[in-house]
This record gives sequence, C-alpha cells and structure tokens, in this order.
Amino acid sequence: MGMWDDERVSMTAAKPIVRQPRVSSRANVVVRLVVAALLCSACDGADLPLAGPPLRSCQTEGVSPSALTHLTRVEFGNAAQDLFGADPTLGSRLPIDDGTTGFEVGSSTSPLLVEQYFAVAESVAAASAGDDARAQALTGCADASDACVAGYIARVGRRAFRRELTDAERSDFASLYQAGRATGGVAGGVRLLVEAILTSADFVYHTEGSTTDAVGGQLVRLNPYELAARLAFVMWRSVPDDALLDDAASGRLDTSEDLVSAAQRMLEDPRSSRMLDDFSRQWLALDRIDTAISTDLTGAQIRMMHVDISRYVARVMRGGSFRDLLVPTDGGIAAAPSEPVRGVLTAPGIMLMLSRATQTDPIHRGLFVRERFLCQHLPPPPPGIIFSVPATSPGLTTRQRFAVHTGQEACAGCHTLMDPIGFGFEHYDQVGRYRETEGGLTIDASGEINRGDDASGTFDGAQELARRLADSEVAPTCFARQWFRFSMQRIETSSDACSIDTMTQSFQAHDFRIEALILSLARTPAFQYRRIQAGD
Amino acid sequence: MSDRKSTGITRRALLTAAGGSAIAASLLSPFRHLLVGRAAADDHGPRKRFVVAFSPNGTIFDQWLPSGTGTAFTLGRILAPLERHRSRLNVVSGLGIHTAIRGPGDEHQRGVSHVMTAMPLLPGGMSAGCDSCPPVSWASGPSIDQTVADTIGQSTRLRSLELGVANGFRESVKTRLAYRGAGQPLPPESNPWSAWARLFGDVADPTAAMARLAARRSVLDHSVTDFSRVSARLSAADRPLLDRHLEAIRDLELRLAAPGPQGLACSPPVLGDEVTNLQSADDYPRLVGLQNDIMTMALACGLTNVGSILWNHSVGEQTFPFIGVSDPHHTISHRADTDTVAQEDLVLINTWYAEQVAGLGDRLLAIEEPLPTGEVRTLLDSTLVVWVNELGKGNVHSFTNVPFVLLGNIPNPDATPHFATGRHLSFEGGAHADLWVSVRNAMGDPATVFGLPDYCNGALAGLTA
Repeated sequence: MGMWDDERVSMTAAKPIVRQPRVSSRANVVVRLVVAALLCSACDGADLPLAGPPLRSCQTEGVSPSALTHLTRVEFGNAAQDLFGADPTLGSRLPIDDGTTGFEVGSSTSPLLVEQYFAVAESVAAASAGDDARAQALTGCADASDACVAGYIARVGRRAFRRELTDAERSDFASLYQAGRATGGVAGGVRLLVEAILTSADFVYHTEGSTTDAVGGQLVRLNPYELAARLAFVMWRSVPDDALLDDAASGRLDTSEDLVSAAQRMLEDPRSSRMLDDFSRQWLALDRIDTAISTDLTGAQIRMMHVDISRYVARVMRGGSFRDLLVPTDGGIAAAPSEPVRGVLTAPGIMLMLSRATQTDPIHRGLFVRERFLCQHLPPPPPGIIFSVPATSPGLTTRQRFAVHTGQEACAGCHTLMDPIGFGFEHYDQVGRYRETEGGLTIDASGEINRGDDASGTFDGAQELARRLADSEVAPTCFARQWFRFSMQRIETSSDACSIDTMTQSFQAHDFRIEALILSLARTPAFQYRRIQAGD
Repeated sequence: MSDRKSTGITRRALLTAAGGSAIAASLLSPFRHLLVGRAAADDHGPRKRFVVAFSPNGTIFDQWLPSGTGTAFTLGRILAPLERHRSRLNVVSGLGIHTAIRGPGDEHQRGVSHVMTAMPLLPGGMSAGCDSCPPVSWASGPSIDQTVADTIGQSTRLRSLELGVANGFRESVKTRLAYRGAGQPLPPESNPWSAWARLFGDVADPTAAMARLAARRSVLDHSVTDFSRVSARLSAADRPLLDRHLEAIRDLELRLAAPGPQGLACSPPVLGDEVTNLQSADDYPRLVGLQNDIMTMALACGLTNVGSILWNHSVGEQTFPFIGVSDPHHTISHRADTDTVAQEDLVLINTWYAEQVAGLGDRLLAIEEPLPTGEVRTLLDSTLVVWVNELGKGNVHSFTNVPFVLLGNIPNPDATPHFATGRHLSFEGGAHADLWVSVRNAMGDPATVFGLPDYCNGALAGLTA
C-alpha cells in the first residue's frame, strides 16, 4: 500500500461532526497557481476544469518559473554509472525524492541527503578505483603521470559538470588527487577525485540558467552546454556524453532543429531505455505493484507483472502511438491466449495494484483513469465521512456492494466521476485474472465517463473504455502533460500554454506517435529557457 | 532486567572504538575548540536523551485511557504491555492538537506535522504526496526533537537520528516527522542495514575507518570550497537551497571529529539477513524491532542524543497478519464505531504498538551507564521516550484526546530525576504544545512556549518531581 491510497471508500455518510471553526490564516488565501484549480472543494460544482490551460499564441515569455533542483536518486545512480562504471542501483541508497508533482523531483535537501551523497560517493569510488589497477583503468593513465591525470580530470569533470571546468576547479581536483596519492597511492588519489566530483555542487544540482545577474522573474535562454545537460537528463536520465558536449561546443545545439535531431539520436541510443522505464514507473505508479500483497501470486510473478508493463510501454514509446498503449495491435501485455488482448489499462499488474486483498477496487481503478489519463484531480472525501470497504458477501457482486454509496448525496458528487469508470474493469479480478463471472454471478461491466470532455460517454467493458480514451483528444493531451511533468520535473502552469500547445500539436500531427511527442519537447520555450523564481 | 537476546544486542566492549576516537582527536581541525566548547556547554551534569516514537491513524480512546489518576491508576487494554514499566511511566491524557485548526492540509497532514511542530503547514503549489491531496508544502517551523537537539545535540556525531519503517517511495508530509526548520523536512532512514552502515560501519573495520578519516576531511573541505564558489555564482532565488546544503556539509565536517561509537555499553546490534522488501508485512515486526535496536545503540554509543522513529507513516496502510489483522490499518481506522470487528482490530494494533514502546523501554533499561560518581544508572534513567499519534480518533480525524505516553526520565543537573513518574495525568482540553514546553524545560531550555504562542499555555503543571 502506498501513500496514494489516501482516500478510501465512502460508504456511509456519518452524522456531521461538530468541528471547531476554521480560522482562516494568511496561508489559506495565498493564490495557488498551477493545477490547484482542479481541486474544487466539491466535485459537483459547476465546472470541473479539464485538459489544460487555454491555448495562447506562442511567446517566449510563456515559461513559468522553476526552482533549483538536485539530481533525483535515479539520475544520480545513472550518472555514477556513466562517469565511473558504478552500479546504478547505488542511487537507491539516497533518501526518496519529493513526489509532490506526481513525479520524482530533487526539490529539497536535508542533512541525511547530504551525508548520504558522501557515503554513496565513497561506495562508488571504492568500487571503481579500489586498487591501483582499477584506478588506472578508470583514468586510462597506465603511467599515472600528472599530465595524464590532469587530462582525465578535464574530461570527466566536463561530463560531470556539463561544462568545461575552470582553472581553479582543475587545480583543486589536481591537488586533491595529489593529497590522496601521497597517503593512498594512485588508487587513493583517484578515489578522492571520484568522491569529490560526485559531491560537487555543479554535479549534484541542475544549476542551468542561474547567474548572479539573473533576477527573480527573469527569463534566461540556456547556453548550449546547459541544453545538452537538459537533453541528457531527459533522454537518458544521466549526464551527457562527450559527443553531445562536443556538439554543444561547436554550435550544433543552437537551433530547435538541432535540439530535436540530437534528441532523436539520443532516443535511438540504448541509454534511453533508462528514461522510458523511469517514465512508465512514475506515470503509472508501478512501484505499487512491487508492494502488492497476494497469497495467490509469488513475488517473482508480481515482479514480472511490473517488468511486462515497462517493456510494453517502452516498446510503444519508441515506435508506436498513444492508441497502442491502450488498444494494442499486437499481443499487448502478457495475458492468456484465450483472453482479450491487454493494453496498459488492463495489464495484470495494474489490475493487481488497484485491488484489495480479497476483492477488486472499482473506486481506485476509476480514480486511476481519471487522474492518469484525463489529468483530473478530485478532492479528498469531505471531513467527517466514515468509510468502510464493503465486506465480500455471497450473492452480491462487487459492483452491487460498491454501488451503495454512489446513491448517497454526500458521496455521489465525486463518486459518479470514479465508480462508473471503475466498474468497467470488473472482468479483471484482484490479481488481474480475466473472469467471465464473479462467484457464479453475471458481471455487469458497463460503465460511463462523466464530465470527461470528449472522452465522455458510456461503454461496456474495459476494451471499450480503452477505445473511448484512445479515440478522444483529452486523453492524449493529458499524456502530453504527463510527459511534460516528468521531463521538466515540474507541473505546467497556464504560462506554459505555448509549450504544451507545441507538444500537443506535434503529437496530433503525427497521429499521436509518442516519439513525436518526446522529441517535440526540445522545441518548446519551457525546454530552451528557464524563468528564475522570485527571490526571498 | 529484560531479556537481552530478544533485542539482538550482545554486550561487547569496543576498545577499538575508543582507539579510533583517540586518532580522531589527533586529527582535529581548527574547529576543535568549538566542539570542546559545545561539549562543555552540554555537559553540565549527566547526559540527557530524547526519543519520539510515532504510530499513525488514531487510537480507541476508552481502551487506551487508564482508569484512575495520579499514582492510583489501572492501565487499560491498549497500554497493558507498559505495566512492566509502570514506575517509569507518565500517561498524559486529554491533550489536543489545538493548532490543527490553522493552516492548510487535510487532517492527517495537519496531524502528523502539527503534533511535532505545533505550527501550520506551509501552503503549496501542488498536491502533496497523493493525487487527491490538497495543496500543501511542509511544516513551517522546527519539530520538538530538533528544538531539543539545539540544546542537547550539539556535540554528538549526529545532531539527531531519524528512522522509519515501511515508509513508502515518495517524500510527502505524511512520511515526515522531523523538521529542521520551516520547509526543511528530515527524511527518516527506513532501511536498518543502511542505518547500521551509517552509524556503525566504521566499527566493523576501525583501521580502515581511521585511514578514511583524513580522506573524508579532504573531500568535505573540497566540497565546502566548491559549494561556496557555486553559491556565489547563482541567482538570489537559487542560493538558499544550495546554502542549506553547504550548511549541512559544514555540520558534517564539524561532527567528523566528534566521537565515533564508544563506551562500554556500545555494541552494534546484529541485524541478520537483509530484508529485500522493506514494505513486507511479514517482516514488519522484525523491521520495527531492528530500528528500535539501532536507535537504542545510537544512544548507548553516544552517536546522538536525539531520535525519532516513524514506525509507520501517517495514513499508513500497514497490515498486521502476525496478530491476525489482515486489513490495512488506515482503512480499518475509518470504520464505524459500531463495527466491533474493526474496533477490536484497532485495539490489537495499538496494543501491539504499546508493546513496541515497552520493548524500547526494555532495551534502554538493559544498558547500564556508570556515572563519574561510580553510581550505575540505566539508559532509561537519562532518556525520555514519548509515544505520539497524529489523531485522537481515526474515523472522524479528531484532534482532541490525542494519546501521549512518556516513558523514562531526564536527569537534572544535580542528577536527580526531572519528572515524577508512575502516574496517569489528565489534562482535559489541554494543548499538546504545553507538553513540548515541559520537554524543553527538562532538557535545560528555559522556554515558556513551543510553536504558535496562541495555542500554548506554558509547561504542563505537575509533571516534574
């Protein structure tokens, strides 16, 4: 169970609770930008905002401010691998990243995080340069001469910092190497180098566009090295390689066309698998599969359910369309031959993670579709609601048992937005198996998307639901926004309308091929510029 | 004395660790006088220690509440496991988290942050932690453990130690107890093996650790230079985050010279085979036990004087199959009062957590500390454990009758115990912030307020000896 399971089933509206009056504080009236508009106080209000900010003509001013961030632990692990051949899973020893946007972001620091950077750097250094032979292999300096090591420092430092090192930095690293070598030989010197690089500010932080001259609110065009860094962290979730930095240095990353071609080359590179896997894991919350508890499945089977989805999404993102994610034209995601082909919506792992131990969970299945495919966020249940999951009982289907609360006034406003979608999945049981009947009873998998823009309407079963979403404009537009949140590591605001519009138009013009969406990011102002936040 | 074997701790003097700290002392930087000065300021009299343990989702108050007050009380079902520590206990009933009417956040978010900070949450620009949560950021002030650490956490290797169990994958208000300051959550370490390596790794190979000390200092020095240089280059808006990072590096550097694991009672716990799935329900009791072992030894070894353990995060959906509770905790906590099965499950869960508090007490009681006077005390004589929850009643998210249990004591400068113990004290309608004022006072901090002044009346009456 993850922390997403915050909102539980509303079954009975309790008697109103006597509550102390809320004192409105200044904090409460602070204007909230962002998608906060989606969090209406009740779902049955007049309008449930949809799909996104209004379209605007593209102006470079259309970029919303972004905060300084550090590498996520996934990025840190990948970069340590690319720079020093480290085991990328070492990154998972760092504290978990901020998940408040729905995607992982390196937004805050803490003493534990800082301490763990040093500890992980020590582990990387010990593994990569633990003895003289390994140290020499890493640096390519068989003679361990100062000149050769100086060359190594300049090379590896450029990749790690995503720019040429300054003279002062080169000299500091060289002194550190000498200090380590004096007591620990060549390996001692190289280990200190590795540790110092991995704990440097320009390695750990995405400092793009930040200068003392940049005042709050200012829009800064990123320089070619910074654009190379952005490309690398988006496409590979890691530092750039030498070739990309050479492109930056020689003016080959100056135009939107240059950036898109570079992104294309990077997507074709195997290193992009790391990005594709990280995207599917975060977008679909696949970590929740790993912690699903089932007495019917082995741990290995559960892990495989996660892998099956990652592999399928990666395959589609490289060569397929948004439609293929939902309505596969090939075998889809592993299922028995006699069953309907499964896209991501009905993937066994998704059905498993959106279930309870002994029964399905139509509410969370519906909420999942609402949030991940329609980009609509519902408010939590009102205070004072006592909710229970209906116990399984023979003679009643899950649908019949869950239907009770949609009939209650206090619950119906929101639950009509979730439950009628979730009921469409009733042919998939709590471990993701297809079923024709439930305990001998006929399954009613008819459903409806209410207030879902052009995806709205009735359907029968998850296959029809998937087609309804695939045929809509709202679902691929939502997908484009999820891609933006993941790749830019922030939530879009109305100021980003131009960037979102650029991406969705390109997506649409290419029959919703996902590769087109991925690459179109590189031409957006959000990607090429950074607006500095207002200072304190 | 409790059964040592049950804690996995074996008594073994670590002379090597003492040797290690001698080497450390010889490598002391110009900061030495600072540390010594800080240590001296802390060392008026005996050592003081503070641990907060958190369990989520409220309690069943009538089963938690002792009958009778003062020393003439009978523990209810939930607190029954603490009977064996009766003489060292203060059950504090009736307090409410009064600040919870202030600021943004849903009830769980407010509960888990306000209980420790008595301050509102900061408004956020995005939904926090779950897709449907209201927009909130982090707490707007320091948590009680960090305020206490400002008094008693200056000279140790770690200012404070944050541990967790089954703590999810993403950072959010519901998975954080401790705050260094406004908007500065301190993440708990949820992997006992990582925590062990962090705290006791040097003990495993003291020779290598000594060799690493000089190297660490070089890398930290480099990092300080580097971060200072980069910070000076950044825009004013970006600088605060980098400067907090730099401050943490400087703190690490200062504390590098602080003593490593040491003392006759210092014996790093033996953890056994690593648990690969840290969210596993079957392994949950073992993980809780291991984090309790590690916290105890971090105190016993002098690595820190302040700790917090998030046994499970707010809204935790922990299952307890080992006591026959297979539904998730938060889900059960929302069932109606008339649901007798759910009520019984919640009593079982909270009783199990009371047993963990008692177990932490056993561990602390099992460690003896010789004083300079020759007198021998246990760690529990110098450690205050406070068990907290973010709510009173789970199904209505109430902030009244929030359960607080105090176990252990704090020595006054003259070595007499600060708290009178062995009692049930009722403060019906009282503010929980008042308890934190009492805790600050116990640590030698003469404060009269904690958190928002309007929701604090000063120290609780009648707690002290």
